[in-house]
Amino acid sequence: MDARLNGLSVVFEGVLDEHTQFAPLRTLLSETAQALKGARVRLDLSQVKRANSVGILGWFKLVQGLGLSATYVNVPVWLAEQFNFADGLRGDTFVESLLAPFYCPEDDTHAIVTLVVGTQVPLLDDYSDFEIRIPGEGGKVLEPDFEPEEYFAFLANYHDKFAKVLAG
Amino acid sequence: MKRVMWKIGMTEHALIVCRDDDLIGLAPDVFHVVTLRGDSTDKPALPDEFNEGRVLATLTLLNTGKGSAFDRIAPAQRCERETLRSGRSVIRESAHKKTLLTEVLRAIEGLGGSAHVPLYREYARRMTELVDELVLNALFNANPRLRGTDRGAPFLLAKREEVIVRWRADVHTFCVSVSDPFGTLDRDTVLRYLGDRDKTRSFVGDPSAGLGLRIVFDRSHTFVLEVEPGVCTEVVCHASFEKKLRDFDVHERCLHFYLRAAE
Repeated sequence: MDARLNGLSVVFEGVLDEHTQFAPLRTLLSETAQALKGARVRLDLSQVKRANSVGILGWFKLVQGLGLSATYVNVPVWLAEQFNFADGLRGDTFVESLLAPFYCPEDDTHAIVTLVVGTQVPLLDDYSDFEIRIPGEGGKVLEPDFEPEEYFAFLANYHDKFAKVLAG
Repeated sequence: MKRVMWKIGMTEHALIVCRDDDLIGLAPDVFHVVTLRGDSTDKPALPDEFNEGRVLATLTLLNTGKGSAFDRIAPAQRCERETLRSGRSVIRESAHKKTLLTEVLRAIEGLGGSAHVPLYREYARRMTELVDELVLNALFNANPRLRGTDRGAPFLLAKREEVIVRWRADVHTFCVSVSDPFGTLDRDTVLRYLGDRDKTRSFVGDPSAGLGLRIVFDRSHTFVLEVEPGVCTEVVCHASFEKKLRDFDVHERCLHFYLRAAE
């Protein structure tokens, strides 16, 4: 997995696995955090195509070990799933936006949609009754192709912490 | 929503599904478990998505005939119009694993045609992650020589240590078999993992934290473990490509464990 600075964001791409070199990532993230002088480091992993357990655990340890004030943007589907599998959002972390799969029953098509936390997805402590519909092309309506209670579980788990960041 | 564990068994005419959290009473050599979405604090009824016929069909296939579970439940070429993709890899070094994962990814991405690119791209990722975790386990958990070593370091396996991977995919299903020549997986380890399957992992101080198995359970619907102690382990995973990802997610998960006596 490679990384580069793009404005205030660190953008990652490739595959997060056992071959990921964490030492240069640690240096880049540390230097970025210092340059931002206390502002939150924005982490964009939307160009990382997939990950395995070795890479994911290495990533979570890296972010937590650095004690970063980090904001995840455009969280890809695989990472949202991992936030629910493993406790990877400890410390001063926040999720600003995430990608999610949607389905259009009208024409049997699928799409990946970016959702902004706090607006399209309100912060709730339980998503079991949460319903979301997204307007698609030509007046069509997209429905979530996931169980909101499961997919947004990490938002519910960190409801209080995330609400403080949003209130900011 | 959590998943609830049920024991399953089969008589000549019917599938028996019963709620029982106490897995200690399971037969030592062969057991079958299904997990379904539900509230673990109550005694739930079987949820609507439980497909009894599907589970029964798989159990029948697994319990009859000879040979690998892979050969019994993997998709077969049924007619010329259907596209069947398949592969076989021998993993001796990390480059072999990378090649295998690329092959699986590309094969599944191409299955849905232009109308279903996002769906099959997602299935391709899920199945690639499934194969990745199974191979990692066969390389670094099953093989005593590599257990505890740096997983990113180059390795070269001797012929007697090779990991064999077979896979088949069509537009409806994916099936993979990963075999190692060690047979080190035991029943208690499987039961421990099963009991922990829904817990959110704390990764502090634990190199793997069982996350790999969690991923395997999430990415496959049928999980068959055949162990010949000290000789070999074959793990076979099967997943159905539902029309919607949501249906893939709520689908029941079945684990079938067979401890075979060494021949």
